[in-house]
Amino acid sequence: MSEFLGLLVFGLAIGSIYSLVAIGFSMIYRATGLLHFAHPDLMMIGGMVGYTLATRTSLPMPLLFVLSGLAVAGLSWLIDRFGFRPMRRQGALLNLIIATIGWSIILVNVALFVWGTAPLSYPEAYLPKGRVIGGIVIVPQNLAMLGVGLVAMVLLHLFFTRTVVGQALRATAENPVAAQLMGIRIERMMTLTFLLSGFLAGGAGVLVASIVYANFDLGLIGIKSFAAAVLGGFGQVGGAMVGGLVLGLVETIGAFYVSSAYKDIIAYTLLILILLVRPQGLLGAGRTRPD
Amino acid sequence: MTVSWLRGFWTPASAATVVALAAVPLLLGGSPYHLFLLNTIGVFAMLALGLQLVLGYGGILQLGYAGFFGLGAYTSAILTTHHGWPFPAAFVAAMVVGVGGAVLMCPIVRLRDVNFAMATFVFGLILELVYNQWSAMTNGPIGFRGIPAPTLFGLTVLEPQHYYYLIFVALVAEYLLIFRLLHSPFGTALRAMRENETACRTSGVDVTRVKVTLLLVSSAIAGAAGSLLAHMNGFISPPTFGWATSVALLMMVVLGGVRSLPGAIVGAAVIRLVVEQTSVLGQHSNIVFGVALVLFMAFLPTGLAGLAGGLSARMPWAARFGARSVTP
Repeated sequence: MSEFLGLLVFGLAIGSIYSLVAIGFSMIYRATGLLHFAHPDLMMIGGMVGYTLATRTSLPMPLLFVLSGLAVAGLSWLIDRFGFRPMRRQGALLNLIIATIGWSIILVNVALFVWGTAPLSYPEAYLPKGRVIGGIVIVPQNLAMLGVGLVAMVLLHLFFTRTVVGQALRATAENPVAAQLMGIRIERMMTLTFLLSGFLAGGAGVLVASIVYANFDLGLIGIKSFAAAVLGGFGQVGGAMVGGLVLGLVETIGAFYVSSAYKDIIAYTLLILILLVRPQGLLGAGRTRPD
Repeated sequence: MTVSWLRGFWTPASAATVVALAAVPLLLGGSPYHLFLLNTIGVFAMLALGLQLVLGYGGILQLGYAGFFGLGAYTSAILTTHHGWPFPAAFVAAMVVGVGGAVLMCPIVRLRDVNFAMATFVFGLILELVYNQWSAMTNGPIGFRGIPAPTLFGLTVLEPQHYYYLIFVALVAEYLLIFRLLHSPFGTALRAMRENETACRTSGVDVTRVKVTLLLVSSAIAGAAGSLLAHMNGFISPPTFGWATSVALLMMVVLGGVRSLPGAIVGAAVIRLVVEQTSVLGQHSNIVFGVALVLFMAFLPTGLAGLAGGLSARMPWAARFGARSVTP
């Protein structure tokens, strides 16, 4: 039982990381129609920046989260402003998607150049440590991650439903043309989308890199957040949150009870099945983005 | 001699190109390194042509193409090495298994745009994971060694210049097949589907069937290319059939020019040559690809073929020499 509880917490903690990346991925998809292949690599850059900050300054974890988030938000904005926005005017979506693959390659190689090839472990103070309380191993780090993830999600939910800017963002995502007619400046909203999604990806990068390692191929973990976004139904923020948590749980429990070698295959097969059976996602209301 | 179903293929330029390519090994003499490079380009040109059919002409973002390449390579390697199959049979089996993989993927054709692209991407990831994890069959990340050289009509193809002709024949056959497809009613349906899928459906074209055909044909091609690569190198390992290769193939198509068959071949040659050069330069050289992909998409989405087409439009005399991209 205690074993299962530990798995549950770990699964949800990993899941909340997937959620943070998946939310950004979904937001970008909704606002721009873009499948952003460089988004997981932005998460990776976040983990790297966090590593440098941790070794140089030994700031507390929450500050690392915020600072890396801000750095990656800036990067995300730069890529959108100078990479995507000029191409959006030409309007060929396929070309834009291929360009995001180009950005993914660029980010990976920049990381290789700056931080090298070896996996980097965060300093001792940041590493997860298990404590035995009443016969149950509790890893405070996992609980904290889950906490950070949940708090971020609640804040985002409030932002999207209770603030004018949040509602404008959702309107832009829903129907850019109609939003523009209502006087929403959609380019500004798209900028905001990239900033916010970059911030979440950067923060998530710190969380994941502190429990695994910081390395140029960390984006591979981020790719699973694509699956989370699909699970929740592309472009639904709430769905992306739930999708991430479900994926984290299924994967962790599947790896333990079925096979750890095949856990990624389990996650990906699940993804394809869900795409086929419920293209609108687990929570979707049968409505997809208009073509 | 003009065979009617190849009408439009034999221009002076295309005939000259075929003859020139056939003569290349004679010109290069016996340099095994250059021949090996050339053969690798040939295999990747086959793949780029296959992807051109799906992506360029079909407008379908197939992001897991290298996985099907792997299906052919592993099938052919396992059948010849462990089960003693002769090469021709294994070659056909590689194509069949490639098609089989595509059949598994068929349910996703009813997904549209982004969901479809996502599904192909994930399908490619799954295949790469299987090559890595299913060690009993594929020998996992260590790679599969000792694949025999192919034997055809009792002769073993050992010399790289002989292998060149094997690949050359396969490439020309594939080119003719795709050329023929594009100049048939199927090609017209493709163009209609690309322009406006909904209008195409309402005009009575079975879009699902067109897409399935594209996937099956392109996967058979990938299977064949995989078999040729496996027997050429004698060694295969999972990274060759993963995401990185799918991206490289995408770049070949984009660089050469979307919707140009000669462009795909030129793209394959350029990318392979760059890979050869940059592997000398060091590990950060991949950034060249990323930057090239971004720049091409932003400034020259029609690729080198578009550039050539633009030039020939400005200089009508150049068109006589065939500087015209095939865009049915």
